Amino acid sequence: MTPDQYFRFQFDDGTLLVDVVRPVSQFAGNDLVSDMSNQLKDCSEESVDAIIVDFEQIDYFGSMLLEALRILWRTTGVDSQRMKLCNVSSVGREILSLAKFDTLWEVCATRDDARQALCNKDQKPA
Amino acid sequence: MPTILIVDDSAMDRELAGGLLRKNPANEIRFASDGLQALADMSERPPDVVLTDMQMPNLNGLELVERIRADFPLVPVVLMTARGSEEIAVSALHAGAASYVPKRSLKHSLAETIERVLIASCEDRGMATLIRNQLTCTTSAFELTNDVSLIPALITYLRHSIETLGLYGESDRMRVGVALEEALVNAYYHGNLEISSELRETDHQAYYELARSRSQIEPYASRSIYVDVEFTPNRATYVVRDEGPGFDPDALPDPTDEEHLDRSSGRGLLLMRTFMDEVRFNAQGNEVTLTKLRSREKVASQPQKVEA
Repeated sequence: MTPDQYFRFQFDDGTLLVDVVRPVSQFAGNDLVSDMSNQLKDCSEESVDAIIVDFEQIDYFGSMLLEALRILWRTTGVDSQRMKLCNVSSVGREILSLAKFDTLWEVCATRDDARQALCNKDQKPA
Repeated sequence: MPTILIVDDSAMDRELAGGLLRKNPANEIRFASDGLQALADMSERPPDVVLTDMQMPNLNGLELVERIRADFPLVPVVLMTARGSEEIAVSALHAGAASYVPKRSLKHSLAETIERVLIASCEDRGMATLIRNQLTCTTSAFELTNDVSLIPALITYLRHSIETLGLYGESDRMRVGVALEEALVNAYYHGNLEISSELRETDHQAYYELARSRSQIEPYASRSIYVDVEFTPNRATYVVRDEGPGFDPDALPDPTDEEHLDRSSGRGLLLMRTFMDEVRFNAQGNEVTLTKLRSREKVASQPQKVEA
């Protein structure tokens, strides 16, 4: 991880796993967006079928991270039901709920729950 | 009489440490066999110091340090480390443990380490008692010139201040931090640099590029953000003022309206209004006053008297 890195992207069989690896200052805007844009470019040849964003390493965040989530979702073009958030603190859940982002993307307790929620979605009849 | 809580799942090690500390007849020794039992004991009566093993069932030493830091921040924790527990001990020190003693050195170092930690803790508690119980009002004022890197430092300082004052529990401290960041973001980007968040919705890179260029040209470059802070025993008040032309907060779209969910505007103000008890703008719209009343949330352990 470099000092200006906020996210760690990994691919797992079509699912983009995004770890938020350090607290996001509201004044990191340009660096934050650049980091996300660069990492999205690096994986532009991969086909993103689903996204899991893991918040385990941060306690809270503000509108800047909400904006980064919106950019991630818009740029990848993933269906909102195929994007899951996990390991969100109670204050983080409150913030997502205030912005009503929890109505866009399901908030799961753990990464395993998020994977399971994606699998369940896969198994449901069309 | 200082009270020392010894936490270890090994009865033999508990007795060994307890025996060494009982050599000072002033010490009162209590025991717990794991982290959960220790927390239950502490909630009845917080000790003056906790001495804990690292590897235990139910709640290990690191988890115990984290819980004590959150719920009893004035109670120091000393670790007993054994071969193989170095990594977890380093994490526990990062998490706020006060010191450590290798188990193989208990005989030579334990009493001295505990005494040293108790003396430091006594000073901390005295200061905390003074600040939390005797301070009636404190004010501070900042002028932040055009250096955005100072703003996170200010927020950190203000968060530490409210922690020291004991006004809020951990969750409310986070909420205040979020609201302050949003107010300062608003003052910097939308106030002093006069950049609309509508640009961010359409082209976020152009938004930040414009911010960078405006921060180097007049009139934007010489504008400051002024922050006045007042703490009393019952409330914290923050006034954030920029030197921009101001804006009409009522003109912002409701970010929770389903039609606006995908827009950037208004989320910061929503967070401010939700996390503070009062948010008030001046008529020009370039100054916001944020007030947070004393927390109803449990504020972690009030200072206790200690006799070292």
